[in-house]
Amino acid sequence: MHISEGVLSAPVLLAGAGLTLTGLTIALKKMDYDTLPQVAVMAAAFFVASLIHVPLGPSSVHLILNGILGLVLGWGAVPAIFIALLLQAVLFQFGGLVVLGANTVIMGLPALVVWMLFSRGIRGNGRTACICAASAGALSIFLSALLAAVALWISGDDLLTTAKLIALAHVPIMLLEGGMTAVVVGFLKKIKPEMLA
Amino acid sequence: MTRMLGTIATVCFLVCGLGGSLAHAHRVGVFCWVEGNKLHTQSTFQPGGPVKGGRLQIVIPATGEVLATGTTDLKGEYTFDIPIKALKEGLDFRVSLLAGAGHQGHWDVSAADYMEVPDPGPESSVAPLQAKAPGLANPENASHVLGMNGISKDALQKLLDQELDRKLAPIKRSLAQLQQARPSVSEVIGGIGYIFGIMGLVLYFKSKKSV
Repeated sequence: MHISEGVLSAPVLLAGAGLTLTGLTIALKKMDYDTLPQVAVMAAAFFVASLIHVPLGPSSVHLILNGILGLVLGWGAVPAIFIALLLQAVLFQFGGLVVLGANTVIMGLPALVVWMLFSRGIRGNGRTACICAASAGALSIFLSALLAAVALWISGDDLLTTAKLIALAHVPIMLLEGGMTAVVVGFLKKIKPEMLA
Repeated sequence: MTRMLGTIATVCFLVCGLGGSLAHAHRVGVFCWVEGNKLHTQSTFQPGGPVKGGRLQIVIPATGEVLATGTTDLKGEYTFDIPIKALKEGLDFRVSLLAGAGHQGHWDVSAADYMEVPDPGPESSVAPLQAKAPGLANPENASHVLGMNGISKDALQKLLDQELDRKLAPIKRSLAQLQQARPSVSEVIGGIGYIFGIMGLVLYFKSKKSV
């Protein structure tokens, strides 16, 4: 999901940087600073998640966790994802500084969307909450894949081929993250319901 | 307090439980080495498996001209014949790898890497025979012996270069694999440290304000 340096065209990079800046400004204003430790913990989880490799068929995939970040942090997910991606770019050369804005949008926007769609749903009782959480986990990955495909398409790739490639590669992660998000939300609801944004 | 403990427990779980399986992420690398007039390439996700079916291009960075293209095999390898244009003009070129879905890497090859190796001429068929000559261990001696056979010093130089390339190829290959080091545990822990350091800084300034 991390797009490399030199792949995207200048307008996409600029739009990504602009959107990320706007998102960060709004998020820093809306954020409750008492939840900062949560933001840091989730940022750390997101930072590490990309390194965990699940071998699958000919390729391998990794967790992204942007769905759960959205559900737990709300707007706080934007700075969390930004910082984690920044450190991944600097320390591991995943993605890069120039594409940082675009990558933040690709992973951060879906986090916000699923939070807005499902934050009420996960407060419901047992089954509803479980289904909402699983959908949030899966949908966030799907949206990220879609955004990545669109970014590549505007930069000159063939949309259908790219979208198919990315979507297919991410089907296993969608299932994995859906399940994981459901489990984590269920767990948090039992022991720390106030942690969910 | 309980919240803090929970936080610490979560991080410990993440680092210890998952640190063991750190692998694959999204950086791709392509490593190239020259053998005779062949350019071998090896492409991998770093860290992780080989890039299968990645598109390779030999490009001249200055003009953007594409001299040759290829597709990596199941081991992520592909061998180019060094383009004639590059051989003739002694061009520096770049091997770029498009691994699909926004993954891209490149490796620069300078003219000096391959121009030392002249295009093997008709003598190349003689190489294996001459390489077995006992005198070859000592170049001066060898040139003397070969001189008697009517082979010039230049030709000998070519043979030696070719032989060296052949012998060094496995070393270059292991260098390629070494280059593809995965993020170390210390880098991961350092990153997590940064995240909490930034959190601490923000909290510090926020608490000053409220006092």
